Amino acid sequence: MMNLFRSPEDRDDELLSAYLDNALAPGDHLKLEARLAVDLKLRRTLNELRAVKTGLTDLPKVKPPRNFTLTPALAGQPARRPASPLIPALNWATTVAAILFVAVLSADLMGNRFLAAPPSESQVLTTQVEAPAAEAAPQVALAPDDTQSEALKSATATPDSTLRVLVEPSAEVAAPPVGAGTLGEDPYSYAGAEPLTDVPGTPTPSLSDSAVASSETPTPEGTAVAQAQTADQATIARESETTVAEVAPVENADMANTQSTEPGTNTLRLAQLVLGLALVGLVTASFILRRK
Amino acid sequence: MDEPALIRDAQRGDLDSFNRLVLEYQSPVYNLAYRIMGDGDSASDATQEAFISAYKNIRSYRGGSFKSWLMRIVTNACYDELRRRKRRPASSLDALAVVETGPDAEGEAQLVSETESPESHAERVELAEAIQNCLDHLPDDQRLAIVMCDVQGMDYSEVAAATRVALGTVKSRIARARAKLRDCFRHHRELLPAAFRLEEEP
Repeated sequence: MMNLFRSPEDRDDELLSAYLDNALAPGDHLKLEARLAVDLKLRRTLNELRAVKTGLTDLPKVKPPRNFTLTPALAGQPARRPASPLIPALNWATTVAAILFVAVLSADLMGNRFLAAPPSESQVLTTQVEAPAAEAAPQVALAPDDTQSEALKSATATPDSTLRVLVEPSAEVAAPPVGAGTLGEDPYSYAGAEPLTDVPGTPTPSLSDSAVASSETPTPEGTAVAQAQTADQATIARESETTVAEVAPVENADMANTQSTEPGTNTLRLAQLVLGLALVGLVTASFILRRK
Repeated sequence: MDEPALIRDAQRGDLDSFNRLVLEYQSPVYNLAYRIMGDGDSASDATQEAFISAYKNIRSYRGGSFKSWLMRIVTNACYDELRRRKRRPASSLDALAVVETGPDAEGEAQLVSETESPESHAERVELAEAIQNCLDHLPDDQRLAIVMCDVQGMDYSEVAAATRVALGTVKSRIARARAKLRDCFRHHRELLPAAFRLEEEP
């Protein structure tokens, strides 16, 4: 619509200007070149416009009189305060604390793994052993009673030295009920020395023999039961003998280990706690300083 | 210069990174402002305003030519200053004085001089003054378009993006500006060196 009110010269100026900038459509470009080939005035105008364009393009660059970099004030930022001198120190302290924390943590973990291996075996052994020992203890404790009562009844020598050894570990527990009125001066002897010690002419009986011998007039069933009970007790007692004997040193060793490692472990844990707290504190302080 | 990285850092508020961009682009930005405003002081003010505005709005930059984005900002800064001049006739008189005397002594002294003879340098300065004088008489919109296209070497689409007008409008403004400059050059033919003298074909 605007083109309708423009002079042919104005339209030609626009065509020639676009031609100079290679901004004409291909069809318009060809048409204009055909006109330029025959129209001298149009060609002269084109040369004038080209000279204008060249003159502008070749204008010398003007050197900026100064740099236009922005200061914080120009940029609308608050003036940057100098960084706190504490920040480098905090960085170092944080690094050192982190390294120490990792080292202590590693030492604790490796120490636990090192200590955890042997106790795991002994714990298995202890659990295997402690159960029979716990069960055996009262039975063994009862054994002297039964044996003693039967021995007292039969007035025959029943327990031999083996039984005494068997009873000895449990005797401390079983001693009070047994010892009252029955034990002589020797706390490990039963019913005085004479009946329990070697009776002349009496062969040293085995436990089962003594059990059989202890019941002079039992019923056959009672004899069998008594034999079975005594045999069981003896078996348990033997087991308890070995297990108690084995467990005692293991437990002692375990306790010794625990006692010897506990102070070191506690120190490591304490160091971990202190270093962890220090690390958190340093990181927090550093963060706050940087924010400021 | 890793321009994308500097732009990203500047968008995060890193003023040092932005200032590196300023050092990279201050010459074309100042030259555009100088050719539009016609004098060194106004060009300096417009350039500084443009970089301040660019820093404050750099988060709105969404890629593309960073130079074009800066040119659009300095163009707006120049527009704002020209509008202020129109509202204040006294300023216009000041500007007229600048136009009549050509670029101020400071701007003239700042013309980048290469190794050339004094005569050649004088001719070049004279030609630049004549062209600048003609440019200063153009309407603002035409001056902006022709400076961007012929002085800064931007194509039509870049000029259209920078001035936020249609491509056809840009084409028209540039054509009118060239036609007016051609007429102006005819009046200053005696000032033009031989290489730029508009020779008529026989």
